[in-house]
Amino acid sequence: MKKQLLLFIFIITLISLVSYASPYNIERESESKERLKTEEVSTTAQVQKKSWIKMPTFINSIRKKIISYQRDLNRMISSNLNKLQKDRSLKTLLIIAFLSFVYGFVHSLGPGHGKVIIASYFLGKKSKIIHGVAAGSLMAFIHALSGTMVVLIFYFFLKKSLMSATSDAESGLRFVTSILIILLGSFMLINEILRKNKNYSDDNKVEVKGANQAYMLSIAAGLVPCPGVILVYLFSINLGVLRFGVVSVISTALGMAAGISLVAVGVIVARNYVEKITFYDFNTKNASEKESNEQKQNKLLKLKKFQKVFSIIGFSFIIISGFFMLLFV
Amino acid sequence: MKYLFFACLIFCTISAICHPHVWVEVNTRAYTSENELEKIKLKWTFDEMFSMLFEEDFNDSKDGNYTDEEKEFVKKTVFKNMSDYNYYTTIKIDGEEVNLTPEFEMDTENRILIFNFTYNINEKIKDESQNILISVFDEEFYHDIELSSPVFKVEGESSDKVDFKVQEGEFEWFYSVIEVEELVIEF
Repeated sequence: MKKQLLLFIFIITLISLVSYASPYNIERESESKERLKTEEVSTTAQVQKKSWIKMPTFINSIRKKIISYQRDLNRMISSNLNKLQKDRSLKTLLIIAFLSFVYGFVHSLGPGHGKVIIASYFLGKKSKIIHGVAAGSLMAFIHALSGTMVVLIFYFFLKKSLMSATSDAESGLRFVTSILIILLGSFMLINEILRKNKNYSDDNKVEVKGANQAYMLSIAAGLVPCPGVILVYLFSINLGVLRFGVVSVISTALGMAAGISLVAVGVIVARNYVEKITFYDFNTKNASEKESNEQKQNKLLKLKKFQKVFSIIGFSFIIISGFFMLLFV
Repeated sequence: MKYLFFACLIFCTISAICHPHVWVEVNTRAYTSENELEKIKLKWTFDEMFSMLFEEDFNDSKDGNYTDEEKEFVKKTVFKNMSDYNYYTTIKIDGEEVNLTPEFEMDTENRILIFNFTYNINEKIKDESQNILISVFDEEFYHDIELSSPVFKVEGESSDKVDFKVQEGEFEWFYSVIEVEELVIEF
C-alpha cells in the first residue's frame, strides 16, 4: 500500500515537473518581432540541455497531426467567417460555432492555460467532480473575457496598435497572475500547515467543502488574455461580422472549458481513487462494521496524514508554478 | 504504472508543442546563373487572421494595399526585430551554418500577408556534390511554420543541376528531441 502511494506521488511529481519544464516558455511572447517600439528585444533563453529522451516517431506524427488540425480549424473558421459576411446563413454560423469549440478544446490542451495550477490544487484538496468542471470553466471564460477586454480597451477606446497592446497586456497580466498565484498558494500552504487536526466522526469520509480557493486560482490563472480570441475578434470586426465573431469566441471558450475541466476532473478522479483504494476496502462493504474502533481510528489517522501530505504537495506546486511563471516567462 | 508515467510524459510533450497562434507556409525558390547558385528566396505566407491583425497595425487604409512608406516602416521595425531571432531561419552550406542577412520585401496577395526573404548565396556549382540545408522554425512555437507545396522551384541556367529533398531534422528541446522539417538543396 505504501509502495503504491509512494509510486503515485513520484509519478505525479515527475509529471508536474515535466510539464513545468515546458509550458510557460512556450507562452513567452515572441510577438516582440512585431512591436512598434524599438526597445531591445531580450534574447531567447535557450535551454540547451543534453536531451535524454528521444521522442519516438509516432509522437512527432501525433504532434504534427494536432498542429495541422489547428491550422485547418483556423483556416476553416476564417473562411466561414468570410462566407458569413456574404451570406448570413444559420448553417455557416453553426459550423463556425462547432469549429471554434473544437479549436478551443484542442488549443486548451496546450500549456499556459493554468491547467497545472488547478491540477495542483485538486491534487492537494479532495474535491468533487463538479468543482473541477466549475473551476475549469471559470478559468476558460476569464481567459476569453480578458482577451475581450483587451480588444474593448485598446481597439475601441484607446485605438492603439493591437499587436503591441496584446503583447504588453500579456506580459503585464502574466506578472500579476504569477504574483497572485504565489500569494494564494502560500496562503493555502501556510493555512494547511498550521491547521489543527479536526476531530473526525466515525464516518471515515471527510466532508468536502466548497472549492472557493480553486475558483480564486482559476480567476488568477485565467487573467492572461488569449491571443486566439483577439485574432478572431479583429478578423470579424474587419469583415463587419463582429456579432458572429462573438459566437466564435463563446464557442472557443466553451471548448477551452471542456479541455481544462477534463484535466481537472482527471486529477480529481485519480486522487479520489488513490484515496479510496488506500483507505477503504472495496471487497467487503461491511468492513466498517467488522473493524474494531482501534482499527477505524488508525485508518482515520492515516487518511488525515495522507490528505495533509497531498495538500502540502499540491499547494507547493502552486507556489512553484507561480515562481516559474514569474521568472522564466 | 510505468506505462502511465510514459503516457503522461508523452502527453505533456505533445501538449507543450501544440500551441501556435500564427500559421506560416513557406515556399522556396532558387535562382541560378551559369554554374552558380545565386539566390534563394523564401516566401512566407501568413494566415488570414494574422494578416488582418497586421493590417490593423500597419495599413492605414485597412484594405490590404500597403503604401511604399508603410512597407518601408515594416522593414524598419518588424524585419529589424526579426534579426534577433535570426529570422527563424537556419541555413547550412555543406554542413556549416552560415549567418546571412536576407533582403526583405513584404507583399500581399488578396489581403494575405507575404514576407519575402532573399538570401544571396553565390555558390559555384561544382562537380562534387554540395548541399544547402534550410530550416525555418520558431523555437517558441508561437508561429507554426511549415513547408508547403510547391516546396521548391529553381529558375535560370543550370537549373537542371539543382535538386531538392525534404527531410526531418532533429531539434533539441528541453528534455527531448523533436523533429523539424528541413529543406535540402542539392547541386
